[in-house]
This record gives sequence, C-alpha cells and structure tokens, in this order.
Amino acid sequence: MNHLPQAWGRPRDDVYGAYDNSHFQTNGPTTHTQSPIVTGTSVVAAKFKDGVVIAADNLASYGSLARFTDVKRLRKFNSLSVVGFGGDVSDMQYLDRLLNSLDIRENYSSTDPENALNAKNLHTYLAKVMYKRRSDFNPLWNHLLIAGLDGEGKPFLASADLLGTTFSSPTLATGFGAHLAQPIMRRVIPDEAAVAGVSKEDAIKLVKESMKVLFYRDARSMDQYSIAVITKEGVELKENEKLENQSWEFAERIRGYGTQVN
Amino acid sequence: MFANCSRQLINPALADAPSRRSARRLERLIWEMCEIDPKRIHVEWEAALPAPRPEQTAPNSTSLAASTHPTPTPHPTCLLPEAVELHSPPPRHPAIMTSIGTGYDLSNSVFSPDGRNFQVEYAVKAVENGGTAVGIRCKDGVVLALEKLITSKLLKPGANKRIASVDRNIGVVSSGLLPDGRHFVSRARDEAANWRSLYKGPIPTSALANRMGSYVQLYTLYSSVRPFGVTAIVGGWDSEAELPVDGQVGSGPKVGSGGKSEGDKKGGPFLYMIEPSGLYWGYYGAATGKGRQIAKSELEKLNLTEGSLSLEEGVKAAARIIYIAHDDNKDKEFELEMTWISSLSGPTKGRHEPVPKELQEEAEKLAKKALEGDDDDEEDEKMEE
Amino acid sequence: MFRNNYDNDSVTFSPQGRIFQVEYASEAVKQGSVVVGVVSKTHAVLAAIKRNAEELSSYQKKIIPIDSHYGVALAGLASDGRVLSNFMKQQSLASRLTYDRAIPLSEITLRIADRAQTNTQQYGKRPYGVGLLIAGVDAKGPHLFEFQPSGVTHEMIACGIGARSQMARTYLERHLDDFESCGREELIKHALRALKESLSQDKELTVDNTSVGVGGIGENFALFEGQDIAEWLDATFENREAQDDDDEEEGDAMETDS
Repeated sequence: MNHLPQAWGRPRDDVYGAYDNSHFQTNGPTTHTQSPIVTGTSVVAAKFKDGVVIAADNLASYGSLARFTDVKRLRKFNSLSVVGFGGDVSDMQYLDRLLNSLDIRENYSSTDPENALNAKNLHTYLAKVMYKRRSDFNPLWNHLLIAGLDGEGKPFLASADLLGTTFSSPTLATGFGAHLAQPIMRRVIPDEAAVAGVSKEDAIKLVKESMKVLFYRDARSMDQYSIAVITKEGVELKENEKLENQSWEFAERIRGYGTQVN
Repeated sequence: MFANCSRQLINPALADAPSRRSARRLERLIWEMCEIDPKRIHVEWEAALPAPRPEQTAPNSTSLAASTHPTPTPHPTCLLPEAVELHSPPPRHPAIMTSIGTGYDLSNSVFSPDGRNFQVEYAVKAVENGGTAVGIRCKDGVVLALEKLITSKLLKPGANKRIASVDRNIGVVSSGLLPDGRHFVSRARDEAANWRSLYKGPIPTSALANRMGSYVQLYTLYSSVRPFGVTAIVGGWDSEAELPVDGQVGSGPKVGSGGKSEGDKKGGPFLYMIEPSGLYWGYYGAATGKGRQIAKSELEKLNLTEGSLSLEEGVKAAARIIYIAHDDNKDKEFELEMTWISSLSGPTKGRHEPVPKELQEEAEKLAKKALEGDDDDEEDEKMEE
Repeated sequence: MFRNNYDNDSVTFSPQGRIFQVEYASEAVKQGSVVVGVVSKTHAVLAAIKRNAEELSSYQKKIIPIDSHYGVALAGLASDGRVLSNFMKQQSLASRLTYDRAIPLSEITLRIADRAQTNTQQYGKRPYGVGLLIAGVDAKGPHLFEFQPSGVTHEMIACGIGARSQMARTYLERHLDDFESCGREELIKHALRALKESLSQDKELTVDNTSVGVGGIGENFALFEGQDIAEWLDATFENREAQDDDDEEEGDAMETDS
C-alpha cells in the first residue's frame, strides 16, 4: 500500500493503472460566471406623483425548481431609496453587502438626510459597479431597479443590468415583466407627463395587477411578494404580501398546448 | 546628529491592511491613475524667501532644558487644537529630566537602560494636554463625552464634531493630537469593515479594542514612525438579539448547522481605553486628557461596579464630570460634545448617536447647577474653618 | 544646526509631547501672503493677496477653483498647495463620476487632512508646508474649512491665514455676528476689508494683487481677478487715494513677516 498522502483517495495504480493526470489540465481560457444559478424573476415598478412603487415576488428558483420561497428581493438602502433585484440571488447578496458597507461609510461623514445618497446617486454608483464587473468579464448576473427620490425630492426610477446598461422610464420591469407587465403599466402611465396624474393608490393597484398577471403567466413566479412605496415620508416596505382576487378562469380558454388537443 | 538616517522605512499602516470593498477601490482607482510622482515634488516658496533664521548650535545636554524651546508666535489653531501651554517652559518633572540628554529618548522603539521607551512616554504628554474625554458604561448603554476647548471665536459653533462612529454600534472619543485621533478612527473603521467582510456581521467591541490595541502598539516598535499622540476611549453596544447575517434575504435555517440557538445571553455595553503604548483595559468608567484626575475621582463616586446606573443618569453624570473637570482659570470656554449607545430597546436602538439636543441641554443645565452648588459648599467650608 | 535634538524629523516627540517639525511647518504658512474666507447663510467668499516675485513676473496663484461648487485659497508653499489641490480635484471628480454627487466639503477636507496626518507620523516624509481655506456650497449649504499642515481642520464662520493674518482675524472677530445675514456683495466687502487690515500701511488692494472667489447657493464657485474686481474694490474703499506706482515696488519687502 502506498502511504504517501498524495495517493490517498486515488485509485490504486497496481489495480487500475497509472492515474491519468491530463484530466487535471486546464487549457481553456479563464472563465467567470457564465450563467446565473439560483434566480429571482421580475421586478416591477411605477412612478406616481409623490414617489415610486416597486414590487418583486419572494421566490428564488433553482432552474425550474421553486427552491426558496421566502427570499426578499427588495432591499431598502436608506429613507430615500429601495433597490429591487432580478437575477442571481448570490450576486444580489453580494450587492446587498456592498450597499450595507456603503451605507455604513456614508453615515460616518454625516447622518443628515440632506447629505445622504439619494436614489439617483445610488443608481449612478450601482451602474458603475455593474459596468466595471462586465468589463472584467465577471458580471454580476442581475437586473436592478433603483426606486426612490432624486436630489430635488422628485420621484426617481431607473434600471441597471449585468452589462452596465442604464435605462429610465416612468414604469419599469425586469425579466419576464419587461414583456408582460410593461405594456399593462404603460397603458396607465404612457409617459413622464402622465406621472403627475397618478395617485399612490393608483400606482399600488397598477403594480399589484402587474404582479398578478406575472403570476398567471410566469412559471418561475409565486403569489407571495414584497412591495415598497417610497415617498418623502420614507420607505414603507411590506415583505409578506399575498396576491388577492386571483381568477384562473382564463386558463380554461387556453388552447394549443398541454393536454388539450383542440 | 543624523542618527536616524539608517532608519528602515516600515509602515504599520500597510501591515495586514484590511481588504477594501470594490466601491472604495473603484473610486480610488480613478485618482490613483492620476497620482503625482513624488520625485517631482520640489519645494518652492510662494515668493522670495525671507532672511534665514539665525543658526543655532546644537545645545549640549546640560544647557538643553533651558534652550530647547523655540517660541514660535502662537497660532490659535496649532497642532494641538486645545489651548495647550505650548510656549511655556517645560515642567521640571524628575522622570523627564533624567531622560533628556541621555540620547535614549531621541528615537522611537529604543529602550533606555532602565527599560523604558521614552518616546511613548512623551506621546502620553501630548495626551495629557488634550481636552478631557470621559466614557461611562451604564446598565443599558454607554455614554461618551468630550470637552472641546474653544480656541477661536471664528470657529463655527457646534459644527466640529469629534466623537466618531465605527460601524453603527461603536463610538470613539479621543484626547490628544486631533489628526492622530482621526488616524485611529480611520483604522478602526477599516478593522470593522474587514471584520464584516470576513464574518458578515458587526465587530464586537472587545475585538475592535483588541485589534486597535495591536495597531497602536505597532507604532511603538519602529524608529520609522512615532507613537500615537492619543488615548482613545472606545464604547459600544453589542447586539443582545440574534442578528441576521449580512446579505441574508430569507429567514435562514431554523435548526441544525447555522440555525438559531435559543436563550443565549449575549451582547451588552462595553467600554475600553487604549493608550499610546497600545495598552488597553476594559472600564466601568474611563477618563483621559487634561482633567482626567478630577474626572476619575468623580467617576469613582458613581459606584459603576454595581451596574445600576441608567443611561440617562449616565448622560447627566458625564456632563457634570466634564463641567467639574474643566479648568475655568486656564481655559475660558468649551463646548460639550456627547454621544450615546443604548440597547436595542432603548432610545438609540443599539446605534451610536449624538445625545439629543433637549437631553444634552438639560444635562448641561444640571451640571452648571451642580457646579454652583459645589462652589457654595467650598465657601461654606472655608467659612467654617 | 538645529535648535534642539527633538526637531530633526516628524517622528520624534519632545519631552513635552510636541512635534517640532510639524510646528515649523505651520510657520511656513505664515510666510505666505494673507488669505481670508467668510461665509453667510447663502454665500462663501475667499479673498487673497497675490505676490509677484519681481516687477515683470506674474502673480502667484492664491485661489484655485477645484470643482464647480467650491475652491481653495492657499498660504505657504504653493507647490504643496498644488499637490493637495490636484488631489482634491481628482477626489471631487471621482465623486461626481461614481455617485453623480458634488463631494461634501467636510468630506474632501477630511481626505486631505488624513493625507497630511500620514506625513506627520512617518519617517522620510515631511509635513505639508501649506495652509488652506476651503470654501463653497454643498447639499448642506455654504461652508468654510481651515486646513493646517498638521492635519488639523476646523469648520469656521470666518478665517484668515498667512502673513499678518492676525489683523484680518481681529477684523473678522469684530464683525462675526454680521456675516450670517450678509448678502453676496456685502460679504465680499467684508472679506476685502479684512484682507486690507492685514496689509502694511503703505499698501493698497489693487486689481493686480487681489483675488476673490465666490460661491453661493445656486451659483457656481468662480474666481474673480483683474477688472472683474475693480467695482468691488471701488465700492469697498470709496475714499482711497489714487494708485501710486512707487508704493508697489517697496510693498513686497514690507509685507513679508518672519
């Protein structure tokens, strides 16, 4: 028996022949994340006259498996801003720790709300982080929505994705929501000018309706969700909401796949 | 004369520097690219130089005590912000007198034949001239207080805060050289951030005191640096509740590995004081700076070992102690700065914050009243004599 | 060669706990020509005396705009001031780039102060030989900070540093209560009068030797020199005598104090 530690746990040469070390060779290019692992689906958000509403469900999927059902994907940064995360959950956790350390540092220089980083500052920063990582070929596999108030206290909503792309609009949705929720929300808030006519209640109703449609049609979604409203009064975050007034009647009318034949 | 020429350039600030977060790195990267080559820095005066100072020969050891003290015109905000007696002749302290001229006190990290590091002792001298700083460990929190001597009327009142936060639950107040105090705080913050990146939670106050003690001690080891000219009081509240791990997004496991343990008693108020030597102790009540002797004797009267003093009483006691320790004859005016950290159920919810204005005003009013009372007592006693 | 054994470097404490090298560096500030700063509720003003090495040379820069919201005035080693102001420019730009935010003045002041502190605790480095007044406006309104070679910084209502600056400070202390409610023009006048106090008797503030920097809420920090300040000078010193050219030539020697 070979007592050298190198041989421990290896197939014995005398029985299986010499070990083929070529298996250990790595000749390929250095690679980083090629795909997300545990993922969160859509985040939806809409501006209204005094602030922003943002929502995301509490599911983290592992492929098609509904792996974790109490994952909170809206993170409050301070009294002026909330970040919603779509995409890889571990990258979201990394970003959450990054924002936590940023917040601690910010409080060192001043605890006054006037000097606090607002949602616009936060978006600029996060977009820089995302772009830096994609330029390192090591992206953070997320699509972020940053909701809150800007330097003038006006509603602010913008997105940053894994490539560092930024986009802003009175309504925004990531992932599946970009296809399914955006058209619904745009019908109510077509442009920036329309925001002034939207009340908080309207916006909440609109976002909840979008979450419901997403639950109907997105197979990686769930009916438990978080919703946050950011206004001058601060952040009102609820993390255990349940979709109400569901009606699956429409499912009966779906034809063309599954067990139906006609 | 240039005994120091062979000094190795060792920089403890770089020793085991905590890894930075990429946020900071990003920002730093941007300006590092533009950093100036130090070799290109050359000295040039704004305009023609005035006549050089008359040269003086190096005094020998016997004449040193009398001739070593140049008298630059006092600037109200010199290195020591407090009105230090920078320009008075040195005190004839016997211990100091033996050190001067022996040569053992000219370089850091050098032992004298009787086993002392004089440079560290001199650093303590810088602390002894600073405004009084006090820390009190109460049953449900910690109070930090500082006497800030007003060196100029032109200072913006209430703007120059000096008690700093480390993470969210720890406060640092220091006495001595102001910039050294900031260096201390900046390292403490790095240590706290480093702890978080490793353990995904806030640093316990005891661990911070330990790390800072080690850091300060490093500055007594090399001739290429000088010791810290500050004594720092570190007060913190370690959470008594189970905290979520940083980045935690769900509820986490309820049992088993990584699960919750019920009924453990943990957290509470902590107070440490770190000296220029790197020495530190835990305290019930700590004081440093000019008025430390008076402050210490006042702290002893509070019977802090009983652990019954409430946080609010602590605030009032701290204010009173600063007022009592303040030397009216030497320093005219001062500003009182106070911060506190309460339990999670208390007024600051476990965070280090300034004492609210109303409470501080009340505490100061009581302190002034107590002072007047004291004066009366003294007069009474004299009368009796 | 040295006054005593404790003033060779900035890593040696004297038996009284002083660091002479740092104190000497503070002396360098007093060699520079005077600069003053004042703040009101809405504005921050810097004013400075510029020197020229000789008649035909240009005047030394005293006020440097750093970012659109603030600038600095320096007294002492100009090259050290340039190193620090370059650093401040980089930091300010980085803040705009990463956060889209004008850097808070307290923050930038602390950053140079921490840099200066390192120079006082390590062998082989020397303290900076320059004092700065940092003035401008951030999210919390107008501010004025004083920076010293030791790494000490203070937020001030008004301040003067440099040669004979005690006279300016005396003026500022006398009018301390007036500044807060001052309008823009009135504040500039105060700054110029304080500056004038520090000048030797035979010297005058002229469009050539005076710099003014103004920042305010809703107003970018701007540097004013030459004819741009003529009106302010006229308005501030209404009954001054006509400019005498002979005065200026002797002026420089008179002004240096040591």
